[in-house]
Amino acid sequence: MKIFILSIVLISIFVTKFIVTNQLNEIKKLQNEISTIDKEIEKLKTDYSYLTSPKNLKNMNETNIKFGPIEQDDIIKLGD
Amino acid sequence: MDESKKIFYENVIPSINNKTVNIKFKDSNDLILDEKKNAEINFAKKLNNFSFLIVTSFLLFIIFSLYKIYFDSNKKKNIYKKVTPIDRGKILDRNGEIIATNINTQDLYIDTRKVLDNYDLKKKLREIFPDKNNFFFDKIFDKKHYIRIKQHLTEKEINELRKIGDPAIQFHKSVKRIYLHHNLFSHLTGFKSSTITSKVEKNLNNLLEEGNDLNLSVDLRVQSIVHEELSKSLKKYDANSAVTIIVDVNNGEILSLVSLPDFDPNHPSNIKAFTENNLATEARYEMGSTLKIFNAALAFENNLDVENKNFKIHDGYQITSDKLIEDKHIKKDQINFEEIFTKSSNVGSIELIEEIGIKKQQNFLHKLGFDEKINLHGLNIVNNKLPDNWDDLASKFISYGYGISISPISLVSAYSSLVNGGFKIEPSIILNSTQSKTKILNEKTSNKVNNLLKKIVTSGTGKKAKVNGLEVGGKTGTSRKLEDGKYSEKKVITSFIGTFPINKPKYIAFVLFDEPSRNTEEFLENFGGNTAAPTFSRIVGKISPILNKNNYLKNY
Repeated sequence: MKIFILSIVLISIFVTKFIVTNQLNEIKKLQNEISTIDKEIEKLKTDYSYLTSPKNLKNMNETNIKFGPIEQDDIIKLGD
Repeated sequence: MDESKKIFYENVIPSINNKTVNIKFKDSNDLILDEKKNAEINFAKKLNNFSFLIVTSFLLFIIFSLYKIYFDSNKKKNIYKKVTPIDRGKILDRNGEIIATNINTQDLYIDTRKVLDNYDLKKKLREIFPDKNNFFFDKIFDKKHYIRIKQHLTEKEINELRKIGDPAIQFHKSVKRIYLHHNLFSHLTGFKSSTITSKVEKNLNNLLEEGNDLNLSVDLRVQSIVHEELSKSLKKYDANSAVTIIVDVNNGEILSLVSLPDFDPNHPSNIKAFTENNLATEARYEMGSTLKIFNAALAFENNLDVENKNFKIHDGYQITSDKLIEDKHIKKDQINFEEIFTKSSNVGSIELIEEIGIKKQQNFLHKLGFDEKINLHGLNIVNNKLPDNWDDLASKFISYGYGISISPISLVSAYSSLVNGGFKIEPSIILNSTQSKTKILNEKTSNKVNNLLKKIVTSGTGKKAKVNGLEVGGKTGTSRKLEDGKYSEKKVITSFIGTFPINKPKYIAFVLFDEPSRNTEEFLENFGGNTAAPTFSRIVGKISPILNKNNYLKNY
């Protein structure tokens, strides 16, 4: 009886170990994927920050859009 | 005796029995041994059962643990963070814009044992890296070894190298610290190279090394405007250096800090020594007239009856036997209390401090923290230099801004208390790190100071600090620099410290120029109003719409 119980327990261990190892491998794979995507996102954020830095926006505005701040003369009084 | 019943043992033939029986004769000792044996057997059986239970429990525990790992790994979403190597934290501005971050790059290695064609590879490498000379490549290809040629390759260089297709060319992953806005935040972030670190990168290294992002209190948009305007003014006035600090007077958070000249932290090897000092925190100046407003605050705080008094300035003031202080820029014989500040009178300031007294002046400046070292996490701060012997003469010099050298950050900190209702604040460059405020002055004093600062801009020496659509207040300052033990006529420091909106001050902006080129015909006392004040006006005119909370970008 004891040998039977021990055998069952040992088999359970091997089965469980197999399941857990598989699961951990799956997690590692996902971790690597997440890490790669995270790094890619960080890189894109950095690129975006650089491209939208005030200096670059100013250059783009000066060459393409030519927006300027609202001056006092631009505001028309109600009576005018 | 009956003879028949007598048995003659001689005639009895014992029956032959093949079966032999071992008869154990047990005595009392044997019985004791037997009992012991039975007890041992029973003990062994119990031990056996117990061991079985232990082993089974242990194995079941293993199964349980394995299942626990299985289920935990399903639940924990962020488990991977513990196993991936930690990148150095980013430095961000108050709105989450990236100031400094790490990027992955590649380094070039050459294994000279695997080179297919030495001559050809050397030639192609020289074309890709024109900054490296022939001697460099000759030395590398002289020996059989595996050696690094260049760190942090650009995408273009990597493409060119891949085109060569020589097996000797190897790439290794590498990480580089980059500063997206180049010079813009150089005096705050400092830099980090493989060998040296400085400023925030050095002083808050542990925090960043643990992978924590660091939010500075500065605003990228404000910093950019301040840097641009200050650079233009530095060029226009041909000054040696310039400083601007913008602080929230209610919590001490620094929204912008620019010190020129500055440097590009992306290229530490190109940094020149004279550009590395943050003049806002690591230099101290005799500020001149910007300090005069402290005399007014001192008079208001002590409820002295001087506000209706007139001060004679016509004859000047003989401060020492060989030094006469004059107010040549004021064409009046006597001035009232307000005019001491609106017209920036040195003689009036001395006469006022004579009325107030040395002790009160000393205590007041002590209360405002002039003799305390400011603790600005992440940056180095120089101590203020107060007179060793605070006597009558020193007190008079201090009254118009001489004999006391203070750092710009210290001046801004003390000024904040004058305009924010009387609360002492600790300046900070880290977002949301401010501590509790202490009330050190009466609100009435603060209101009166603000009124006076407003008058200086509307009708005094600070007229050029006016901003369209916004009421501001402030004080101009010009001081001569010490040269060979004497105060120079040509070399001066000009400054303007202003606050806005003046009806309920929220921000202080301080502008300083070191040695701007001066037209000697111009009155010295007007010089700050002609250089630092207009720069203040341009900066505040541009940043005030951004500083309005409603215009702030929400975090995205």
